[in-house]
Amino acid sequence: MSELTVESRDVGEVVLLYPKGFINAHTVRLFETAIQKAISLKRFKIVVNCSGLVYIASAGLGAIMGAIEEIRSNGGDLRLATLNETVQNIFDILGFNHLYRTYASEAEAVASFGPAQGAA
Amino acid sequence: MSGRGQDARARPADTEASSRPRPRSKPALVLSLPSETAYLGLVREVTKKIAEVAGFAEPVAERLSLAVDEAATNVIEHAYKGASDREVELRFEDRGPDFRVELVDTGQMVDPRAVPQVDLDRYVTERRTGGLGMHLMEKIMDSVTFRRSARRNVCALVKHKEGEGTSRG
Repeated sequence: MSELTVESRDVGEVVLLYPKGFINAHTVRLFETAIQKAISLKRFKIVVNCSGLVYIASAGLGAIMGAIEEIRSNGGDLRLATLNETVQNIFDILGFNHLYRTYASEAEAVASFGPAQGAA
Repeated sequence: MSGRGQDARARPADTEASSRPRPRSKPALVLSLPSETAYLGLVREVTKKIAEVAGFAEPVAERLSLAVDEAATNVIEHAYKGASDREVELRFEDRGPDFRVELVDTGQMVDPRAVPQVDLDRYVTERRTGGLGMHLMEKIMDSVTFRRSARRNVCALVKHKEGEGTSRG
């Protein structure tokens, strides 16, 4: 079984990414590629649905950090939904909650990009 | 907290241990792996299982496995500069009150002081991504030390059992 798969789908202007499995230094390229693909298509409103994400090491967090400035400078944002306890804990340890918006559900994360939200 | 830096490396683990009565410890469990990131999943799973056997609750064991994953990644990417034909040795020791994991490599000495301290705001504005692994290791473990011995690099990660299962790290 593959350690990581990343599926994506579009909901209006929002790109949803579904990493499933483990993101570490071995698998991170796949995750990074999915983020970069959205950016290359000029789709800067990204939601990472983490419901299938079991574990994320610093390599995965680095992939997010490496892309976030370009995403935000183009009026978008990368937001996260449905983090499990392990992933939430890693975010807490690093203080990522101050840098990235997280949501309890995918629907809330997608809705957060509504017109009233404006650019992040 | 972590003993990163000169003080820590001047106070290797054996000296630490000799300063107090050595608790009864089980023989070390030693695992040698090729320096390939493909084995990081195995490192994570083995570490988690051994930590649970040592008495840590699952959430803590999960965090310990992340710290060891980060340390092994550092060895592969920095000490061995991505070469996949080298060896990484992991030594797991249940020392009674302490759970200790040593990662041993024969690669280039990496000065932990050269790793930048993490400033998350600057990370965003300066597009920096390095140093997160070290930061995680230090947050999760009670002690992270580095020493060079007989042309080998030893990274020692220690977690105290007392008070664990609580919210720490």
